[in-house]
Amino acid sequence: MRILGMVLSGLRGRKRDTAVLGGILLLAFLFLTLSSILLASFSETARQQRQALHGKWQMMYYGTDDKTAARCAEVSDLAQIRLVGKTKDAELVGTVDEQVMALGSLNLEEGRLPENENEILLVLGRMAKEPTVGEEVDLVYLYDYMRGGRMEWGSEIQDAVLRSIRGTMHDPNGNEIRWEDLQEQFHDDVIKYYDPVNRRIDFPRNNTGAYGGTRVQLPPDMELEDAMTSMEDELLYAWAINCFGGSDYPSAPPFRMSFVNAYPGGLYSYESFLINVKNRSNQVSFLGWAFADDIRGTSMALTQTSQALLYKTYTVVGYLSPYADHWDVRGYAMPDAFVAPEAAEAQLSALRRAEQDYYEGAPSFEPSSILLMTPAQNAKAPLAEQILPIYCELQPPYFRVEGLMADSMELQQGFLIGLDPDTGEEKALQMQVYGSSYYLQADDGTWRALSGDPTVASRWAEFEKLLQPIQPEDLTMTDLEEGSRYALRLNQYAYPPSNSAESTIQMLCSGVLIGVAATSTFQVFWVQLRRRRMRLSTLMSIGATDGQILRMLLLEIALLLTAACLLGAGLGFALSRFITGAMKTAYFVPWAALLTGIGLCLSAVLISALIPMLLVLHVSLTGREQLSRRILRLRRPDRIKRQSYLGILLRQMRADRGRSALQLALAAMLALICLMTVYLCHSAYGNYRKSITESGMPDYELVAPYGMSGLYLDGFLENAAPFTEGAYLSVSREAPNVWLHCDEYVDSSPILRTLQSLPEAASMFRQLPGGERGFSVRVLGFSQEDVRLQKILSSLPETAFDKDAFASGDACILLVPRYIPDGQLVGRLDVDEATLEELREDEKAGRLLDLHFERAYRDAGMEDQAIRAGGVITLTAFSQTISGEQMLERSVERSIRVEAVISTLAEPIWPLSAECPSHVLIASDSLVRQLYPSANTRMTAAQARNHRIMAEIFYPDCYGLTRFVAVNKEDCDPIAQDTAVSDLADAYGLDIVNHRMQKEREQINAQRRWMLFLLLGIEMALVLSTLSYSAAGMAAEQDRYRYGTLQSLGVTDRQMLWGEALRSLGVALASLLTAHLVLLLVQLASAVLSGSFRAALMLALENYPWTAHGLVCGAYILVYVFLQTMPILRVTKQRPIQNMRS
Amino acid sequence: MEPILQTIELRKTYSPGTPQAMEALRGINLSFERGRYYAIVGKSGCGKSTLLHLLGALDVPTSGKVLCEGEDVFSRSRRELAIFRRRQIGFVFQSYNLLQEHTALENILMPLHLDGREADEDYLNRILKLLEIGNLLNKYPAQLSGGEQQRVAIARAMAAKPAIVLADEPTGNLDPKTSQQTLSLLKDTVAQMGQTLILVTHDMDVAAQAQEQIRIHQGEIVEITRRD
Repeated sequence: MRILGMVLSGLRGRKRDTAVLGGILLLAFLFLTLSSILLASFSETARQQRQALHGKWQMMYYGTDDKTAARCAEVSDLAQIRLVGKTKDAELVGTVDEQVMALGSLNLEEGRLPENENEILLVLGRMAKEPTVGEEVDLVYLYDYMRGGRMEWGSEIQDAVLRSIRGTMHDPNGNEIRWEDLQEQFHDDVIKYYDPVNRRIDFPRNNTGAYGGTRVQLPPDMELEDAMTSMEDELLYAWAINCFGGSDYPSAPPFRMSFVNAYPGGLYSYESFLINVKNRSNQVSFLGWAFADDIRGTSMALTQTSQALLYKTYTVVGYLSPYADHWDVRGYAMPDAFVAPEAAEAQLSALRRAEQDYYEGAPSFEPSSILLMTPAQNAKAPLAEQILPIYCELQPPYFRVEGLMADSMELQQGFLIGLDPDTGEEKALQMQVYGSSYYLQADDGTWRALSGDPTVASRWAEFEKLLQPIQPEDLTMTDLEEGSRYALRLNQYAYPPSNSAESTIQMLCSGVLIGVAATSTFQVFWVQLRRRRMRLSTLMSIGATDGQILRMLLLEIALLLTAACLLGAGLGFALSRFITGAMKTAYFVPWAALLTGIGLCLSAVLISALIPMLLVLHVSLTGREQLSRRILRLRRPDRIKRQSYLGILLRQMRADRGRSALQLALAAMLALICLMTVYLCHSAYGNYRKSITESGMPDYELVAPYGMSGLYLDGFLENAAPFTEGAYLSVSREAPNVWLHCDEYVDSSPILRTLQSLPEAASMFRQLPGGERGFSVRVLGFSQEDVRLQKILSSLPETAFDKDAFASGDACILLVPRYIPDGQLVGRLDVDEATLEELREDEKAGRLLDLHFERAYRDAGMEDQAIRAGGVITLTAFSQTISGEQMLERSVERSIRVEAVISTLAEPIWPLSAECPSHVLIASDSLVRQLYPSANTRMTAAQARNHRIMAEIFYPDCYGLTRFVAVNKEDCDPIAQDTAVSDLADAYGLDIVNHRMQKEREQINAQRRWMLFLLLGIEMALVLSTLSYSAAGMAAEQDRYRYGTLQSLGVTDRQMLWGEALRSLGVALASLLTAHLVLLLVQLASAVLSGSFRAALMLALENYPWTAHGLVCGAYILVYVFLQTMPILRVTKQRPIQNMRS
Repeated sequence: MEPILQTIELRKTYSPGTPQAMEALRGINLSFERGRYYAIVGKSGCGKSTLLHLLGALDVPTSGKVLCEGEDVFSRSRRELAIFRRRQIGFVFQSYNLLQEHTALENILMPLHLDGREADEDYLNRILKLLEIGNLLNKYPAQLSGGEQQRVAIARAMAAKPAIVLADEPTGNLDPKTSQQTLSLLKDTVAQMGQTLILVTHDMDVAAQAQEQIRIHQGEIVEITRRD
């Protein structure tokens, strides 16, 4: 109690000291609380905003069946969107309820949710012609089904069909139209048998080619096309009633139906097929290289597909705001229209009955759902723990198809990858597909025909005798975060990875604050105790023990700490509440982090106060011993040099090393914060720069699957006016199916030899008509006026370039991917160690030059044959066309001079700047036309879509590509541009990639990070500057006696000010050097840890804002010198005797 | 003889205009001649140190003037005042005021070096010899006794050959024997160098040795005793 009294009276007596130390501690706790709450609140606000925009769901399970849905129902918060089907006008139709609305953060723009069977809710802006609320809308559902080579018709249906046919048509020969004739011949080309003179169709009997079969006379008012449609309709309507509606809906089916039948070779079938495969990508695995990485599963798609069109009339009850772009679905189609769950159940149950009744089909309308899951506010990991085992358990074993190429419409060849039944190792067997028959080449070289049984299970049973299916690997959270090929999706828009920059900065901020509090406590307390040395000596001289002194000092600091903590935290709470209220953001207190921070701060401050306490206990009762020891540490000058005022100051710094070190530490921390702010602000834009700016990413990319003819292109550009008014549009033509004659290179290339032995070789090499091997290259053709081409040309030496030859297509520029040496050889294909070593040695010896067929591979011994400017290369371009059921391939061979070989582009030119995996020939568009005579064509939107699908499945290309790259003008309305470009793409059947949203998102993220780093940097710099100023003020106050003495010796004010300025300039420079060294060490350490030292270092310093860095360094020096000199200015304004009396 | 220092109606009030206002000097008129030894005496708080500080331009008067060779000291700028202190005045303080991290020699040479001058070695050696500190030059103040420190302080005050040496109770912290020795040294040195010594003390024995004794009481001169 007596000690407490002494402490309290001491604290009261030393009001200024108490106020300074208490103030610093209060500020530390205030800022700690404030920054923790504000950062957490801002983060929470951002989270809420993200969730409002991107949905509250954390994981999405796309395309689940009922079993999976039932398993996932264990998750506490689950919303299910049943996929009802795909429609012509409104794309996917799904179900919606309050749960979906809540988890998906969907906004109802107008109206209400559907409640009855015939009500529908549409997504705004998705239909070409949008009906008003209350209006009726006819939707056409497109259901795909696949079937084998035969269809079985029940006798009742046969009768129904025949009755219908006989009602409208007759055989002029008087023969009865028989079922078997219709069945057998229906799929043949009706036109072939059409007699236009007599307006009748003479079917050959029993497919023999001989006439005498069914003869169908068209009614006078019926054209051939109508007759065909009518027949198909009648046939299939009867079948469909049986399939989809059955006898349950004889009079009032839930929807009307009609059908488009499709054949092998008919474009519609493949469109359907593609959609089918994509929608069921977690279940179906077949047909090829295009889907090799994406498709897994056990069922087998057949080549013959059909599409059912189901008509249904709905009443529009409302509109939802567009949402699909805001969800992190990464490529999955989301519903554009929603119906009530009950309505969907009725429709789906009818479809499922049809599926059960009709064994041949594998309709895609088997019920599938999108599950949206979230168990807690931000707990992806526990959610993943629940879902991942279910997902892994339900993943079927699979075979992988690679390198599947069509040799003709009927024959496809490729590799089927599975596990060796004996060894369990991965193994590839060559596969041939004829129509719906499959053959695998066994190890002994014989081809094994697989069963013709159409059921999927027996097919796999055959396969499994030669190859075992691959067991899927268990997924991890990392897989989900990095991969986009799984049916599971993480909502990373709403829940970015937890190790985000914000949390790092929050920790850094708290750490620095705690450090600052501890450092300043040490400094201030040490200064105070030194000043109180005499008083403490007196206490000791009258018998106070060390323990008593220590308890007294501890009690003193504990009282101050408690008061500062309570007051600072309280103020922090109040201030953060006020700020969040004023900024209208969420108020969120991170209790665990805050209490940990306060606890750490209390501990750090106590420890930092304890050190001066323990030091002061060793003070001599006279105070002289310690003083002399400190002074005696100084090296005596060898000779008397002329002393300057600065010299006197420096001597003082050397004498009082503790204070000087603290001063330097504070200065270094301040400098470090300044530099880190610049560095972090720079890195905040790192991703944006890398992915957007440096790649020259446009806002939109439109790709037509054919080379547009000149007139057609003019027409296109004219029609694109609503869009191009707000955007700059560039066009180029591409010829991707072009092969470089590479025999002369291959033989001397171990890497090419290695590549040829791999399954991937099928897509990289091919045999050319002359017997040579070709290696795939991409040809990019620009018009002569194209700005991008001009940029490339302007970067080349004028003399070395024949522009006329280039324009006529006789010359080109070769763009060779630049080889990046660090770590690129590892982890790609199975290159054996010996080859790897050979490559490394060649690289060291500088023998590896410019012919790198894969970015990761080097070509030992290629330097003599490497393509060089002035050399001539030979190209062969292939074009495929379909004639009936035959695919015809034509080739064009051209020799062309390489005018220049470049590895880098002077300016980013999309898409080359984003990706250049292999060689690209930059040429004029006339070369593309020469290589592809068909690359001067026009297609309707439907033709373009169908052609793209055909090209994806059967061959790389036959008409080239036309690529449009568009960048929005600054003053345009981006939403209107999105709509305009979307309309344009729809009208011409173009593939559209909208980069604008990504760019915008990256930019906003970068801006947010930049702002956060800047604000935190400023806050920390302010805190440290205040501390630095306060420390300088205290030091000046402590030294006033000394200053007074110096004044009495005739030191002028100017000498004192300049001296102090120079001294603090030295400290500023030293601290800047220290901060640079620290940053450099951190950078070096992270570069070493990243495994690719040079690349990491280059990446960090690439485009580094050295000007800003220099300016910040300059500003830091000025501010620091100012802060340090200001207290001396106050001292110099005092008279010498006032200073001495202090 | 023209006085080297002269005060005219010199007044000093601390905290003027406040209830705590304290008038330390009340119209002091004095003249100090070159080469003479003056002792200012009086009780504690009578204003003698204040007078000394005003004479050395360590403080500024509330009113009145201090003339140095006829020129008003306080009409000068702060810089000129500093130079005035550097070149004309040598201070000897009661608590020595040596800079601890500098050796004795460095302390002694500091006024010269700060003025950008080199020491007159003959002069310096004479002083060091007189003050008997030749063997202490390489020591730090913390290694010196009080008497030794004060002798170093005297040497420092005289090193720049000031015309006036002002000493504020220079023997206040010393024992009588050392005090006597130090005072003798100071007096002799100043005399030999032809400087004016103005010494503040409340020790009447010390004051008795001065050529002129000025007694102050409550800020006013009550008696001036010449001992020629």
